[in-house]
Amino acid sequence: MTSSKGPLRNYRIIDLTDRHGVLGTRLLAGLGAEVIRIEPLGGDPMRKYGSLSEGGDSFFWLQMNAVKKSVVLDLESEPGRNSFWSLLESADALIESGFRNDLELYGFNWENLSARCPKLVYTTISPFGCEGPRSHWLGGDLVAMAAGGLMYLCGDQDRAPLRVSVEQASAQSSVQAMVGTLIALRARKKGAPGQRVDVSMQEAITNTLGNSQATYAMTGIISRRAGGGRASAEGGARLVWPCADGHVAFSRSPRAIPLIHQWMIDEGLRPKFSAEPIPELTGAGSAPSPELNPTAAKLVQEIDQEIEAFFKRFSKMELYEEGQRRGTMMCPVSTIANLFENKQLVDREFFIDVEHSESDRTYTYPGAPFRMSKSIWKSGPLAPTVGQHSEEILGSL
Amino acid sequence: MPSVESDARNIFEGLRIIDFSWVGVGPMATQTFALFGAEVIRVESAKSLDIFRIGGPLVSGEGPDRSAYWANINRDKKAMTLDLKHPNAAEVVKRLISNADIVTESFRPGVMRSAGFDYESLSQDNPELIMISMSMEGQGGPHAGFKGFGLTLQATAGITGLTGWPDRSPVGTGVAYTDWFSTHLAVTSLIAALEHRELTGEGQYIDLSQLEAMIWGLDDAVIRFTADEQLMSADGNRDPDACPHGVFECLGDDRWIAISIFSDSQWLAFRRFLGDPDWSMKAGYLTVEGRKKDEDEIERLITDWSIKRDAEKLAEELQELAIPAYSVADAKDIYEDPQLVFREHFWEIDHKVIGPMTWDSPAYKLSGTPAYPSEPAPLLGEHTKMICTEMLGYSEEEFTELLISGVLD
Repeated sequence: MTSSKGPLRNYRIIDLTDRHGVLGTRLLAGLGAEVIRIEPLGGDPMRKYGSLSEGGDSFFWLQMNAVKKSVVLDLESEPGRNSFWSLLESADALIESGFRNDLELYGFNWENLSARCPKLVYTTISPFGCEGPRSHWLGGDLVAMAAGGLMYLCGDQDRAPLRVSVEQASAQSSVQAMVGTLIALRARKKGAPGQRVDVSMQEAITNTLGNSQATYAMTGIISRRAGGGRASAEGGARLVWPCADGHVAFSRSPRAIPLIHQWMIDEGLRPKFSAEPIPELTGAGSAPSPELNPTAAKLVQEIDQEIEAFFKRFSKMELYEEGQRRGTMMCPVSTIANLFENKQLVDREFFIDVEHSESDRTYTYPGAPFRMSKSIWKSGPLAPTVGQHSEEILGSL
Repeated sequence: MPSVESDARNIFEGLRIIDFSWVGVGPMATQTFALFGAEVIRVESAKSLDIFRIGGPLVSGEGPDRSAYWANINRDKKAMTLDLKHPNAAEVVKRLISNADIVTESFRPGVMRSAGFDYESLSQDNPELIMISMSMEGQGGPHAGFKGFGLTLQATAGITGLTGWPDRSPVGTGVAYTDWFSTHLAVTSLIAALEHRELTGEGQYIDLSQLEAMIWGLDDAVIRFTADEQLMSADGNRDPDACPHGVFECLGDDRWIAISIFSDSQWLAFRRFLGDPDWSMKAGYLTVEGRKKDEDEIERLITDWSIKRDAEKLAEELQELAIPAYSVADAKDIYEDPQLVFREHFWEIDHKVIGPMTWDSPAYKLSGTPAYPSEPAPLLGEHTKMICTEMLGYSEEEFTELLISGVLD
């Protein structure tokens, strides 16, 4: 029997996150936790972050706060602070990002929190963590991407390192805070008191460097960004290729070359390159250095030109479907629009249409991030109005 | 000695995970459980090695036990070898599962089922069993068998298209990015399943599509597109609410500084730090909107200034003025970063074959039950005999027969 309430239904979580943590509390709400968003008197500034929906709240707010409850509290006033204390005493976890200084100003530091709410898990997300020589340094997504080391691995070699235009330091710190909170809640089940979970955005990014950190530690080699390829010491391993309507990601590995060769023949073409294994080409999609191995470099360049011309005959979705059918690791470089044409996401009905009666519009949200056979994923209710649950929650304390 | 309730390894103590997963996401997810005390048994094939065992960086030669990357994401586990395709494998798997809490796998969809190890079969005698499959695009659907890895899947999911310069081809992250997002969602789903089991007594099956999981990491791009056809695209390092918001070249070989200026006070402090040059004094530049109009020019002028300066020193000076900035760290810099050093992000440990090596630790630090390093990653099949004879109840003779039959290859 699937319960309609979600597996985390017995947890109450107080949510004071900004965009560096809000995804984590949204996912916890999806799993059934009672997530109570604390808003200031005029409403949370996140309601105006990014593009606005017809109902007035931003799309970002709508997606990241669906399923949650809203309570308005004025932490600057004593009655507001008293209510907040009562709320914390009833809660299992407080998750914050961007509000630690304010919380401390109003007396909600870890010392007081742990004394008064000994079972409370207090998760705090900040650019560099709560302690240490740079804990007071400022930063958001861009700075954390730089400080954590991922940015150095992203971008073209002849231009500045890059971040991702949808915030990945924010996404990583959000999901790490979620996991850290859950582990602290599991510790409580084994008899541990509440504890502080101190999440560093910088460190969350350092966790995403793949084998670059081990490569440096063991060999002293520093991986570098490689355009649309895997960051590596040589800066090779091309992955992004143009096609008729955009780009595809394709690894020109020794295993893939004969498959493309056959495909070209089936299309009535006569590839100039050989389907036989090329001794100079080792490793997945490697790009030999023109200085160290000019013969191999020239050979690869010629093969790449032919493959590129071939790919340009097809759309990214054609290459995706046919390339995969033929056993290559072909993937489309999707735009957001392409996600809605992806047959897999359509067939699995991943996206969910949600009616917004206040503006008579239907918006599409991402669906369950994973599918549990016995536990539901909550997509609704809609993000709350300002203070929608103040009476319900504060009245019950 | 920490007290029992305040030891990180008490948190999942008594939890047994049979880990058939391989490569990135599965092993990284089970590593989180191992770090907090779960007994994780990695079941591997010696015939068809985990590609991370043979991928780099390999230390001092070739062989399945020399990858520092594999060792970084498989510590605190036990390892046995088993050929799942061998006719006798089912009996060994049955014993492994009989008192397991969680089974994990990340093969292509259908592989476990065709070997007879689907959830229905495995949970027949153990209805409390939790199982997770972590695949590229999910268990069902027309693309269920599609191939890929994190570097290509990030393209399908939209990350690659959202990383790049507006005037050039998109580039993506340069790493198998989806791995590090999916991993945390896999851990979350498993903890949720444990909670469900405690409430109801029942196990369950989890189908994690790394593609679907990653779409949650795209901010509000999905809803914005469907609501207003706003197609978000890669925009270099810019942010709609800030200017300057970029990465600027500094003195030295490939050295850069990231600077993000959101508020008016940050801009005024930055301008003063630059020495109030004429170009910066335009009245229109007092607002983000005004500066946005000349963003190309402003970025060029900042580069003229930054390129003569040391990135690390600049970052310190800017932070002193409460301006968010950091030098762009490479793989060497992160080991020397004062904050990462203070937080002891990298742990050192001796691996039996590799020797001294470093481990990544999580970005969440628990004040009461902090994680700490313990056992290095196991060698291929290191615990096969111990697991068979001590845990699964095979006698020495039976174990020898298993070895001869080839099922333990």
